[in-house]
Amino acid sequence: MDDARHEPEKDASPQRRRRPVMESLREYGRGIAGGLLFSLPLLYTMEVWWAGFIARPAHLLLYLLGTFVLLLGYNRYGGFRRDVDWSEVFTDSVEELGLGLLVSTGVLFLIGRITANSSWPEAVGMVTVEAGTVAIGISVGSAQFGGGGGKEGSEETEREAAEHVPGQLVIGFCGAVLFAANVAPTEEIVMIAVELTPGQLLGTAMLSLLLGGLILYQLDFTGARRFARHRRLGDVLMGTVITYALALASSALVLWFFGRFEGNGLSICVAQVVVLGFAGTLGASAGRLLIQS
Amino acid sequence: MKANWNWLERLVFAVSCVFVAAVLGYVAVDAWTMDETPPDLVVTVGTPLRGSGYWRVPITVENRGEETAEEVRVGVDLRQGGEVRERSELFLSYVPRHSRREGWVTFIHEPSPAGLEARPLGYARP
Repeated sequence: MDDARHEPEKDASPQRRRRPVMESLREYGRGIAGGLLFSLPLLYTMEVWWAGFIARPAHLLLYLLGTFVLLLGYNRYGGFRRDVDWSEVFTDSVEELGLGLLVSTGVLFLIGRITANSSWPEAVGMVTVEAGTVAIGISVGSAQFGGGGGKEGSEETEREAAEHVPGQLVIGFCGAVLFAANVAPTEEIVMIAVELTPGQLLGTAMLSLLLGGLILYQLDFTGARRFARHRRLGDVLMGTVITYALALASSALVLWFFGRFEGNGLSICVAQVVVLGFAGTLGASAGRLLIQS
Repeated sequence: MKANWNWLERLVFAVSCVFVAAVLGYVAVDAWTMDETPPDLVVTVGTPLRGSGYWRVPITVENRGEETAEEVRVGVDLRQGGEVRERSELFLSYVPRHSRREGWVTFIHEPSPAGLEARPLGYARP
């Protein structure tokens, strides 16, 4: 019993045997399927294509580096192996980013966004912006959709996961960005933000807080017991507030990248952050529980 | 660690490295060399073709500036004997930097290539 549980970890050690090619092929396949699952809404959204060629190269560079840091964080803390060393995390992240770039190039070409007439800055911009979510999706997909291993860790590692605050923050951030990025580039966010009354805005913020807290501590989501510490009321309140803060921060970051703050007054910017923060909260709570095993 | 990889893993890692480095390198060089010039649109008029009941003129709009132009309107005048005889317009949602977009304008009268005058009427910053 005990041996069976530790088998996947033995495979993951640096001294592991060479894996059969079919097995790695399946893992890449799972990753790519996961990448498409998470990013297809973005690949099919024209505001994202536009963001690709409107964004300045310096922004694109930051975006690529930011994606890479998120990948490093997710691969370090989110995968089912918690004993991986940093060099493995690094190579995994490079692979996922590379596959993300390849997959987004392929899809953009198939849907006619990249043609022989496209200029280099245009094509590279579109591919880069799309590749970010595809890469995170690939990372989540290869960690989550794997057969066997992972889901059942020992009591000890479970408690460790909940206690590991930086790890949980990174995963929460990944989840929030993954969900927020899906709606951030659309015109609808600005439209809602402009039209909401302050009362409705406050309502949205309260609902986000409430929902985040309920998902993490009350609704018995899979993994909620393992990844969120809830011993005292203080833990619950703090966890809820931190989750919402993560959601707001990641929403602001994503909105900034898509140029949603440019030329807008402070109140509109804040309203947009709150509106998108709703999606971010779902990502940072339910998403966070779903993307770690 | 690398010794434990099979050929597929090595291939995927190598291709990924090349791809990531290429995109990163391209974007970095682009960011480094880019200067802050607003959109600079150059409109080229092609050879008129007869259509069903009107004349079609192909238009190419090229953006030589460093910023994307949004909501681009292009006006094409058909001049005859010094005065404007007919005017057509073309609207393009976006012309990204260093990119070109193609379209058509139409005229009722037969245009002579020498009598066609085209220029961007205006564009917005995205």
